[in-house]
Amino acid sequence: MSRTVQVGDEAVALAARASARPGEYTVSLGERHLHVTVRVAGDGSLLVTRDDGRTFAASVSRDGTALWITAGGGTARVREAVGGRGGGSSADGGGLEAPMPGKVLRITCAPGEAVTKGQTLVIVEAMKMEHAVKAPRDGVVAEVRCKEGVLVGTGEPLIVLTEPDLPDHPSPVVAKEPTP
Amino acid sequence: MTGVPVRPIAKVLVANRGEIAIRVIEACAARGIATVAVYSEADATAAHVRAADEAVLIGPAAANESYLVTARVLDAARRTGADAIHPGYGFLSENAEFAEAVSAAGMTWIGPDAFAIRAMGTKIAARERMMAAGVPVVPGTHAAGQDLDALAAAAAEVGFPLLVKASAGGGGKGMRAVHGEAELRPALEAARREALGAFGDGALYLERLLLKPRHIEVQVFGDRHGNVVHFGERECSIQRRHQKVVEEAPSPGVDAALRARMGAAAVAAAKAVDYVGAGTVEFMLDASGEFFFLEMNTRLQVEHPVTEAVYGVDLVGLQLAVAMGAPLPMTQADIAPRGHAIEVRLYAEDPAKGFLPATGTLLRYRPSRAPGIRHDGGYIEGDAVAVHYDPMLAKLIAWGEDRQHAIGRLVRALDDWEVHGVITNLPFLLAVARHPEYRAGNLHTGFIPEHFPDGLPEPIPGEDALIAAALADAMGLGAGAGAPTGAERGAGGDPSAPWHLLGPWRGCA
Repeated sequence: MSRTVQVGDEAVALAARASARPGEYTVSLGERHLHVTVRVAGDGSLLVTRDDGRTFAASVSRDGTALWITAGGGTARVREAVGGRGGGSSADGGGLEAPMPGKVLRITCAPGEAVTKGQTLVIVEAMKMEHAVKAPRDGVVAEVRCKEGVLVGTGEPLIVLTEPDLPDHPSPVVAKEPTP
Repeated sequence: MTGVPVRPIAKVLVANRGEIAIRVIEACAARGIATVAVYSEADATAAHVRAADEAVLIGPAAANESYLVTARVLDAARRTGADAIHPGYGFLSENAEFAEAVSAAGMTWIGPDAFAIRAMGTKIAARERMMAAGVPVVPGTHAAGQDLDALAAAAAEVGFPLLVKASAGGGGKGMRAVHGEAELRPALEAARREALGAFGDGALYLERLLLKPRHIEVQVFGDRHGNVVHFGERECSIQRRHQKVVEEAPSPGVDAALRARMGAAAVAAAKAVDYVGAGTVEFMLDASGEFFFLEMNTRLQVEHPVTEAVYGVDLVGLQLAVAMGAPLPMTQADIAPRGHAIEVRLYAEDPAKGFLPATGTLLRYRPSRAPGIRHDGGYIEGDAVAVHYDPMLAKLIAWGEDRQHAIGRLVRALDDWEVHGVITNLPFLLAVARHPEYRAGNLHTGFIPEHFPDGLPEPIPGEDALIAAALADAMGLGAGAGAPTGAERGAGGDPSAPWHLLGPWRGCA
């Protein structure tokens, strides 16, 4: 079993192959190969001894396709590589999404309204704090996709913005500029 | 003052949730006092419910339909035969009507009298009272009209930068910093909305924003016999949007002489309202060594454990004793600090995304158990973290013989703290603790915006983490207490077979 994960800006292919001796594995991190010995502790965490004799403890939890790992001081989320498409964020497209799970407290714009960069469009409340969802650029509100008082999840579309000079042609979220 | 009746307490209802409910329950249990928890539908299996002897459901998840409904809390107390109510912090802790209702129902309110809560709860009235008592206050408006035009006119007098604050406020809710005229109106509107939503009271006031001040607060304690003492200061300058993140005692910016002066001012503030129980007088300390009264919190503070660690006192235990009518068992001369303590607050929020709240399931949750480390937590492994309540999951307190020792223990404990499944500020806490300016004790309330203007990017997994990831996949490890994920269920074979509900094999390597 192998996976390709995101490490900073790079995608790194990970794999581990059991050797003939129990508890010994050859681990591949991209082009590098390491020989390690592994023991599993009673709480499910790993004790890994590397070639140079250094041993570290690691605990692992699966979270969908990601792994949470505490190892060698500190916890990190190991996620699948983003892929080659460059990943334009929603701010580049027409869609404005909920930045966090919460309740839509107030909608401060209306369909057809011209808005300026930085203008507050929606106020979302979570854990008793207000957060303003602001226009990432000048534009016209093509569509309001949320309602006041309703719970929204992270990434749910709240507002669709169009270019200011093309009010009749709402740009759907997928219509992004070609990425290099 | 004599003739204070002794009122034993046999059963305490704790009108709160999370770590503070557990803190109070444990203090009661250690003294042989029975405990009652209250909980919302969202908290049916929460840690505080398990910790108490009894638990009563008081309503749906939304706090304003459960934890904030005084009638339901009182009813729970009556039904379980509780003879006292401890409010914790937040929720009903500074609600004078509730304090009165508890007393009227024949129960003991473990907190200050309603009079003191009211006197300090209206921040505008509190400023005036403190000025009268000779306690220095920050320049600002305290009697401005409440319509937006009047507040805008008052702002011109106070001058920019200024702070818009909710008169009924606390915890940063209803508070906005305004750096110029253009920001004023939106800030007033937002602060009023937030204040109305959080406290049901939209009254605002304005205050000069001091430059690079330290937030220093003094722990005071009064009894029913007229005694008030202080347990020195806590420094809470590491804040984000007026939410405290890191607190410590003593402050690296306060020496013994200043401590005595601030302590005396805090005791005077408490005595001005006949204060009984645990309270905190907050000051701003500016670079010149001048300090100004900010507000008084008429309750136990989140950060009380650093004081407990340094002064060797159990503040909740003292609250219980004082509520029963006992005199304070110490005088000011008996009270001296020993060593240094630092508290960090673990919040479910994403430092890489403007500290927005995060939710999820705590797939793994294991705090450090090293010497000198105290963990006050409200969640256990497997718990869901939802949007309904405060994003604070736990506090970790490190005590050391001196500040550097405490920082060393803290860094080690943060490194070892396993929190999986919910994005938290844990990496950010580590970055603060390791920051040279933090280590040097150069603290001010703008520390986070100055040194971490963009928060902190998500940590990049190190080589050891990548090795562990590869091994976990090869060995089929990592599915903990939670249900298997979709990816695992779909990993082959018949997805309806019962084996797929068990998760991958464990512990057979």
